Amino acid sequence: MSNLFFGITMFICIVPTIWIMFFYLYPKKWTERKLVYGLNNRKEFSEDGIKDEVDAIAQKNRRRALLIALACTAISVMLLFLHGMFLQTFIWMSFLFIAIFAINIPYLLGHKEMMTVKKSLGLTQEKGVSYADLKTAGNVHAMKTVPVLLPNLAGLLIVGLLLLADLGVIRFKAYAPGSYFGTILGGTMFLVGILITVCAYFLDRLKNDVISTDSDINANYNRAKKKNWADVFVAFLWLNVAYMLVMAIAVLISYSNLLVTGFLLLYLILMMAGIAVFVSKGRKIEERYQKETTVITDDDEYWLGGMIYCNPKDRRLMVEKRAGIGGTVNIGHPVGKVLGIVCVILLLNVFGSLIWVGLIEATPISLRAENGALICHQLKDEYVITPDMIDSMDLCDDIYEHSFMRKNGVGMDTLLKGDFIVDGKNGCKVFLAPREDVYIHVVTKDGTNYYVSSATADETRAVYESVQ
Amino acid sequence: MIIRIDELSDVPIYQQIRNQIVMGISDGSLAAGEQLPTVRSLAVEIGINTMTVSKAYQLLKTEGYIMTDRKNGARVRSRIEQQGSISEMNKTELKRIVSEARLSGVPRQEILDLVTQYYGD
Repeated sequence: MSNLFFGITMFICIVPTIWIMFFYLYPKKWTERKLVYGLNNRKEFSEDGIKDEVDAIAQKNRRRALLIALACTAISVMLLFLHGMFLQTFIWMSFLFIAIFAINIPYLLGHKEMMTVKKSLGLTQEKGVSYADLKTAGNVHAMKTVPVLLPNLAGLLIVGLLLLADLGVIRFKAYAPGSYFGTILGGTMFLVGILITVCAYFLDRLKNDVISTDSDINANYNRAKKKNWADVFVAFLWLNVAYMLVMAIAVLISYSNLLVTGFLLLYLILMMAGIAVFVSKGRKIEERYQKETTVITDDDEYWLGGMIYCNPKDRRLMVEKRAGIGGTVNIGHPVGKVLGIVCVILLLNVFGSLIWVGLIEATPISLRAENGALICHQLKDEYVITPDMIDSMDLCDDIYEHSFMRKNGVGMDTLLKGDFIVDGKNGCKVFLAPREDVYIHVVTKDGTNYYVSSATADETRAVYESVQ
Repeated sequence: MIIRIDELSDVPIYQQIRNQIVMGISDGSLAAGEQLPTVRSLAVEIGINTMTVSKAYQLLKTEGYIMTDRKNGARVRSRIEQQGSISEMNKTELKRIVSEARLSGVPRQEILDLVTQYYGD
């Protein structure tokens, strides 16, 4: 079940992203856009003779991108039928990076061709020239405090409720106080909200574009763009609060996998829908103001491949993206260089973590008896339950009747390992192959519950008998 | 009012900012009493150091074109002191421009027309 859920989650993340990128990067009517393949859409491109050439470049690469988007969709459908946690995670994550890279290939090719067209027209770059509108500088903002504050306050209330439940001030039947599982979960989601708020304010304070000698046009254009950003961020904040609320209900009142996973899927779908609306609105704003653009800041050559901004002379760390949504880092800036290296390390870390997950899944758990002690071992983890610790020990075969909520450790279809809340009871140590129904339930004298098994039911029975 | 900054120009950036604000005040693009952006905002917009903008504002303040205070930031002065004479530095600059124009074969009337146009009614 969790395999299928993971597949659907990745499908919802990848397929809409690919199609949103397709419609955003490869417009049918390039003349209405501010940028063509990462280059400023100049009036010269629409002149007789040149227009056909640019048209050909745009349509050729659009067709290529369409084929790639269709292929990615088809592959994603096929990947839904994958089995095995490691195989599934590794292939989906690799495919995520491959698909995003692939959909950008026609864009990079188009960018190269457009640079050639620009050079052939003798449109040399005005290096080092920038414009600023004294009337809009620092004055155009769309982010209001109250709409951002309200969802954050709502989130804080939910975290407060979870904390009170953890402290035992408010009691819920399905929740054991003192585990801080709910508070950590809610707090994490609350921090996500704070991160969204920081991003929102950061984007609201980005440099205003100068597209006209008329300050009113500049002000309206930048306000429209920032309003679009503000709206999508506020929507994301409320979506985050809704997710927190559902998680709080699940944790405090009744934990239901169906409710949690179902809402997570809905959350992802709504998020993708929000991005699609944002992109569509952004496109309309660009089309509306393209007709009124009279000033072009020609910084095309600082955009590597039309995507990565590298201008050591620009003091700004963050600039608005050319290909995509939001802001991007100026890698010519000293801090930008550090952030670039950090991103590469994080990317390598993702694949390192995947290999670690693969090792965990591929290594069978072992349970053995040694001098009356139970020893559970897998990779670096080892639990030792000595005879003097044991208060009671039973061989059980009702694993499916219990609910296991992971606090920390591993929670796979084939392996449960670490600290868990079992049937609402806090402080349980679990070391199980959940597909095998048989396990040993040990209660130690200090009150800790151990749920342990070996890789197979027969091995578990044999260990139980030898300890008895 | 739009200002254009050329980082590769021989003219220092603070001087470019100062010159364009003076031209803006002269041609009416910047009205008397009009608020100028804060040092930080303008630095972010142009992508330069705040010290450069601060230097330009300081120069404009010293020359009597703008006034600054902590509460209201920088504003164009309502009344700019009129000395009624061209500074020696500007005379030298004007002489250089006229000389270059003459050497390029620009007719006298064209230069006079330009001066009339820039001076306004």
